[in-house]
Amino acid sequence: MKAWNQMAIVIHQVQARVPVTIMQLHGELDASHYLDVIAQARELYAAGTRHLLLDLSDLSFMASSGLVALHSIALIMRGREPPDPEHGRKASPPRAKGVEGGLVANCKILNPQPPVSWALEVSGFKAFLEVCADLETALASF
Amino acid sequence: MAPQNVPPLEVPLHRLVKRQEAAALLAEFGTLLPGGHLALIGADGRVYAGSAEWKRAELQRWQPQAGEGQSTCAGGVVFQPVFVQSRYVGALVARAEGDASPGPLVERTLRCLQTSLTLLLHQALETRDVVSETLARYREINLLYRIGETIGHCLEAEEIPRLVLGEVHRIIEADVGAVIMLAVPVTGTSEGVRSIAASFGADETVCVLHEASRAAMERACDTGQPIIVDLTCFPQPVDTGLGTVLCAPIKTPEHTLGALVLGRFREQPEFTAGDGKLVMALAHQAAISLETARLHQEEVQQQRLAEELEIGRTIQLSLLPASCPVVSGWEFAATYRPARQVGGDLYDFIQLPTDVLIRDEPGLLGMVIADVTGKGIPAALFMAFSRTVIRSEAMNGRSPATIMQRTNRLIVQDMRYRLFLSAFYAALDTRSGHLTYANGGHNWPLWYQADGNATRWLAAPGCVLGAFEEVEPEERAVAIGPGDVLVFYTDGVTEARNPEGGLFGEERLKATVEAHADASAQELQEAILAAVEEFTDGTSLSDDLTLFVVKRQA
Repeated sequence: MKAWNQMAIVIHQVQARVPVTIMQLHGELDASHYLDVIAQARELYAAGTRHLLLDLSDLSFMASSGLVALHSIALIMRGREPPDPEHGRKASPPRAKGVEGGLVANCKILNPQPPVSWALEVSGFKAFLEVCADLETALASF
Repeated sequence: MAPQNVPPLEVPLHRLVKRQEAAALLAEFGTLLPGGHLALIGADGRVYAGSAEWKRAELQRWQPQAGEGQSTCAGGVVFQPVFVQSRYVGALVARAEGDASPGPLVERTLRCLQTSLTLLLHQALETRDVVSETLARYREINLLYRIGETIGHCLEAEEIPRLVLGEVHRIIEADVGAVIMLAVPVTGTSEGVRSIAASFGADETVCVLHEASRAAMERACDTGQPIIVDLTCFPQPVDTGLGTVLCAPIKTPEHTLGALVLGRFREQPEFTAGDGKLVMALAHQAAISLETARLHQEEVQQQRLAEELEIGRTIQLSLLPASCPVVSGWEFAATYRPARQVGGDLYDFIQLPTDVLIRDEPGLLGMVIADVTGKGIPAALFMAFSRTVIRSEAMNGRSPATIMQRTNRLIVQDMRYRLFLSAFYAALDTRSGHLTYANGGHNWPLWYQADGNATRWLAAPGCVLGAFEEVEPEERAVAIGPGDVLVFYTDGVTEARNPEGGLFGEERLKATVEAHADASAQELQEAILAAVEEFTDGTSLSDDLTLFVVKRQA
């Protein structure tokens, strides 16, 4: 593993209007780590997390595999099993169809850095995952 | 006949010293007792060497006293006990000629003889110990050789515990045994999920052994040495009669893999240090074999992966255009640089249906660039599927936005592929330069405008294809003027890294294009590739790099 693509995940629990789990991603998200992020989200959901805030404020880079992770997390938070990202063959029909104008209600993104925000913009993910600029706004939006 | 509370020697006298040697020694010393009778009797009271005239009844009257080297005299007979390693071996007995009481000469003669005989016996014991040790080492080496032949060639990790335990059971007596493996090898300690990989003995006893050996296994794995535990010293939830447990760790220098555990019932002899040493040797061999099997499995998997990637690459390359379009007034250049793993990049040129054909050249040209998430054969197959869908939609005369929408819908409906696709589709009217385009979540192409010497991005809101049920890409249009350049690329270009981890980025791409805007499409493409190569400075590509340049001639 090269020195620049390190990544760490830190979990916090916050009580807003509802209990919110904050998953902070530190470093870079690429093909080396995206499966770990998905696994962590799966664990959180299994443990009872129903409102997830992805804090990307300390994520300096996100490759296309990061989009796969976000997509899978959105499905997980909707109680659906995401596809196998590595092999892509599953019979279930999980697709993250947004609610309330296209956005996934219980999974949001917090304060992405410009390169990551750009990737979300270009990929169209901002139309499905709400991006909040600050923590207070994010928590209030759940 | 042996003194009380003095344990007899483990090996009978006749196994230590040949009768001829003892008789010769007695004969020589016997010359010092003219007319006397000298004999050596064993601990069992039998005459071992010397005169046969001694009667058992005479000999049985004598009881040796405690204390080595103390001779006693009874009825005119001198008894000189012989001790070796503090154990009673036998006695030298002597009687003087006639009925004369034995004098100091007899006693001194016996003591000298006893000293010589003791020395002889010590040497014999040492030789016996060396032979025994050598034999034990030979058996050990033979066992290890056989183990190496049996287990060393086994590359099935699931079989090795059974083979090892079978060999252990052949060599060392035990009432129950098991090979306990950790689910995931851990560094240093024995923490982790344990499972029984092989066992012998009654099931309930094996279970008890498994639980009872937990602490012993931890200690053995920590120290790297075998450990023998007396279970009778600890209360057991279920009494299965187990007495001692022998536990030897199975570990490599880096990881603890598990442990080999044996148990004996209370009435059986305890395990010895020698047993522990032998079991440890087998555990060590098991660790080597398991590590070899693991490495072999990894190699096989890597080989399969490499074959899969090669197949994927073959599929991918077969779907890329063999050449660029040839259109008057336009230049095209395209390149694809694969990374170590197949990444699923796609570009395509599609001659679109039009009422007007200009010298058999495409009047309306569809251009696609796309990037599939994922690697290997699944990504390659998905790319092939997506290319076909886009081509089909384009050939049916759909607009760029409709092509993106319908492609997304078909991918989602098909549901076999769970991968994403970012794609950018543009339709170019080669007569007018009118460009209509729509974006499916792909990197925005660069557009250099000769008139104004400005560079801008072909921005268009859209979403990656295959991730969401419905997408609504915006369709946009621009006019490509003479001297203008379009650069389509995948993120393999902008996310190429230098040794410090920095990204090539959109701004460097833009600067390179602006610096070579007057060059031909081919030259500009080469300049971009050269800039990326210079930036990466030998760092290998982590993703496929795809790039094509379209230039309207001035």
